[in-house]
Amino acid sequence: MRSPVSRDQLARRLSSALCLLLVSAFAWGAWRQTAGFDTWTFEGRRQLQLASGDLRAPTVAMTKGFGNETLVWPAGATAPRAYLVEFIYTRCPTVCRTLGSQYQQMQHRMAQDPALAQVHLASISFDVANDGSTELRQLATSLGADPARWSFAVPASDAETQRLLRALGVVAVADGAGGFVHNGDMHLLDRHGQLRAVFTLDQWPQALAAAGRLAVQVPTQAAAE
Amino acid sequence: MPRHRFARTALWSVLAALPLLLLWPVLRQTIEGRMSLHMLLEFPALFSAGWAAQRLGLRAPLLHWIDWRGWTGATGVTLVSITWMLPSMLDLSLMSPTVAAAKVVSWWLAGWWLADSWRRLDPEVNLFFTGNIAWMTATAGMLYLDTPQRLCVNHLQDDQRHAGIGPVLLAIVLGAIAIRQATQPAANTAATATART
Repeated sequence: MRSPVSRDQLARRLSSALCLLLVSAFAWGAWRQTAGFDTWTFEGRRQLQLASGDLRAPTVAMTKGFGNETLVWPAGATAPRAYLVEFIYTRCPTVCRTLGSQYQQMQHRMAQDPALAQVHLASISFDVANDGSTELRQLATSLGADPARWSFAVPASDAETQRLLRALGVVAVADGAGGFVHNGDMHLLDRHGQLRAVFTLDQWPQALAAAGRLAVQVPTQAAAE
Repeated sequence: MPRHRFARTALWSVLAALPLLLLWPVLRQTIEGRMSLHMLLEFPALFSAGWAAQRLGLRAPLLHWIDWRGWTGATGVTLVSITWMLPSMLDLSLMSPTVAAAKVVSWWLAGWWLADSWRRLDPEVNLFFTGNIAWMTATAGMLYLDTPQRLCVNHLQDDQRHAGIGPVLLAIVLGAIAIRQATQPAANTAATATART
């Protein structure tokens, strides 16, 4: 005959079951969060999301600063087929200057190569408080930007800026001295706003080549759909 | 009320009210903008607030049924600690309101629960639990110190190194506590054994 379960035994069983449940739930959550215990950082997760095509620019209200394009996605049927987007602020003394110089080189090459006619350069400021259309126009002029190939814009509000940056996994952190720490990546977007690839500062030739290929690919995909 | 008891109650009350400071946006941004303050000030403050709430009498009468000899509390605190050492979770807690709320609730709950579990842990389990958290904390601290690139996109590289020192020091303290608990006289252990179940 089985003896009745004592209060202590019941508490032990319940606690064991709960511990097992907690550990299992944690393991399942960690597995999902780290993509199979493979990546532990936000940047690692972003690379996986990029590879699976999950990063897409939302439609945000933009204040146009310079150039022919309004830089709103999804763009219209007559818009360029590939965009190389950089995120900047006009007071930036470091990364943005280097990016500007590389965008100048890309613009020069685009002017010489008709195959890159459907590629557009985009500089988007995330410093809504300090960058308006005047500041962006001044920066564009100082960089010798061609409005047919290179556009500048700033989101209409901080909330819109955060929405755009978050959707693409871009983070700008205040550096405590009035500026920002941010990555100097170039983001390749298609006409629909989907992020196709990310290139580091020194990879501008590869970025331009990839944009050229995307500009050719997009109509084919659209036709297939 | 005796004076020392009043002072203790006042201290627990202050600790329990600490998270309310996070409702001040400027202070919260300042704390969460620096990795060292985020991990070494905010997390312990939330944990302490939960602990203090338990000490002030906010108890669940049925807790002993699901926390036999402090097992569940120790397991929960270990899992919470691991979770908020992950760089991706630190970032998400600053970018997602849902994850931020989960962070606050989980640390508070961890403190609240462990305040009750701590006294009921067997010495062996206590040694395992504290030692386990100590080496995990030390590993995370060393990782933050040694990694040449930013692990969290929301925090600066220099601050990552500062944040790495804290967990290493904390691990040393936890290790010392674990050793002390393990080597305390058997008489003390026997005296507290009655409160365990």
